[in-house]
Amino acid sequence: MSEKIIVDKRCCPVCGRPTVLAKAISETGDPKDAGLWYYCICGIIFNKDFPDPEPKTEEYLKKYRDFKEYELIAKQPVRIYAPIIEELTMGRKMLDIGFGTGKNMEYFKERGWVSFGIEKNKDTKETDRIIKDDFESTDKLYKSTYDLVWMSHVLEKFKDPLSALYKARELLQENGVLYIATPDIDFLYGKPSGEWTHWNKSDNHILWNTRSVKRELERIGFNIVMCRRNYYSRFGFYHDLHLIAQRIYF
Amino acid sequence: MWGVLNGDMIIISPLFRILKEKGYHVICHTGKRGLNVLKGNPYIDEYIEYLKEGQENKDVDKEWEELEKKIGADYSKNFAESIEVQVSSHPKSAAYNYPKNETLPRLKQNFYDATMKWAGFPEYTGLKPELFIDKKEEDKVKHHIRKKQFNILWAWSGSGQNKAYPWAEFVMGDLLKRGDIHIITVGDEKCQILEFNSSHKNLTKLSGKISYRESIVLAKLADLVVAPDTGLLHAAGAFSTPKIGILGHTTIENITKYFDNDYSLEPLEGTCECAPCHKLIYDNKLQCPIDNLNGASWCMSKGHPPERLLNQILKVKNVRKNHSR
Repeated sequence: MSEKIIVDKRCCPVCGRPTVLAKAISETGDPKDAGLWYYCICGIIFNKDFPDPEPKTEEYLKKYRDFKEYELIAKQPVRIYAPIIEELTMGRKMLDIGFGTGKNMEYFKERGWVSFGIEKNKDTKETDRIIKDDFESTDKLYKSTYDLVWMSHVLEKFKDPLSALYKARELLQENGVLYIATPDIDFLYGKPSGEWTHWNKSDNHILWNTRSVKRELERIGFNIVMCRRNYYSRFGFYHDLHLIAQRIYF
Repeated sequence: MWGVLNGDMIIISPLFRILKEKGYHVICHTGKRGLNVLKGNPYIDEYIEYLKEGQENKDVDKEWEELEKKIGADYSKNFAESIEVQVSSHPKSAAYNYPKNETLPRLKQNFYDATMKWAGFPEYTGLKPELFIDKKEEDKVKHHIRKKQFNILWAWSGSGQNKAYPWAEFVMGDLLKRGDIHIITVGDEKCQILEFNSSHKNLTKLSGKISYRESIVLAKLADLVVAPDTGLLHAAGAFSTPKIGILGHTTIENITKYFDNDYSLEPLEGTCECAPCHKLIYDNKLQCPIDNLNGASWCMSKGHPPERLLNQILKVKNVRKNHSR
């Protein structure tokens, strides 16, 4: 891992302010592999360009499936947060955006949820419950349909995350719930950049902290029910934030 | 004894015989609906009517306490809370949000067995509803039954919005094309809005036009009863009439397990993960996954595709035909 501070001017894709501070961070240590990350005072760090990655394949997902304790790790977010979500909303219809291996949907099914998913993975097989498309551009989803929209580590990958959050709000029923897990850049204050594992220049576009994501969600019309920072790898990812928001919160 | 809804009164109906057999003088304290359902029951010696014509709502529990003191009964049981509430999850209940794997084992019980247990007679299991219809009542409605046709009595809906079957018109439309099937639709006044907009000669629309008691009599006389989990399905359980319960939030184990000639259907496997939820649904838009296509609860829409119900009805018709030969 190597990093170098650079002064360059660019507009923040979230607040529109000009920002001048950027860091060239290389995960491999080779400066040639470095990605240029811009720091904005609104609480985000953004990639120089939208990486626009090629849709992943089944082979890519295999590395997750082969991970030690994968079944337990994949189940953890549902095991911990589903009871809270089930207390907030009565309906049981959920949409998993960028479901990857599909484990979350499976665990929600086991709990009695009617699960739907959207994924742009090349090898995704479409069914009446699975849409193979890009969430940001698709028009295959119905408004006011779901009781839960599950966004686990996809917010940081969106080209236009604010529009994606607006879209999520539209898809939810009145008392529907949004779950977000995304890297938390506040961990960078307490750790060297090299220990923070989310500098993935070829996948990630905009990285958030708790304040920036909460602020934008509230502007869109969500009520924040819970937001916590996760230090542990029990959830697969770590140094990220977990957030539950609801359209109408009593 | 006290009871509330039509279905609940039918579920407690076998208890009267047991009490009588044990030598009790049986007094039933119930409202108009209860009287209507239990009419002609030889095991009830006396009725005390709750809320007579012109009376305002009273506190039933308070009235019950006073009655208990006045009568000094050797055995008394207040069934004022719906039986479904006892064995299902009410939104107020802490168990309402339990996940499916915790709910299923807890609520895997037959409503009739559970009622007997609640009443203090757990040794009585496998009971069916007991309703008593006299010849006069049969004569009054039998003109609705056509001798040369296969008569299907179809109940539109039940107490919850989740019980409405969205493909009913599709199935009925196909059945009516066959010519030898006569469909009689029943329900309360509100069900008139669900009525099939067809003037087919083999369709008799009686929602809101006949009493609940008359619907029960028709359930005895018809060749088949098709109903969601509602009072009429329980009523059909008292007779040998074949019946198809279109079940969603409850199961065959809960409702029709002990019924004769039961052909009830539970949601098709793999179509509806939330079923059976065993939840009391007051607002399906809020409490259920909804099928955008028809606004019905997922278990009824996706769990019971129209061709599946149609095949089941035709199967019963064939069995009936072969049997009558």
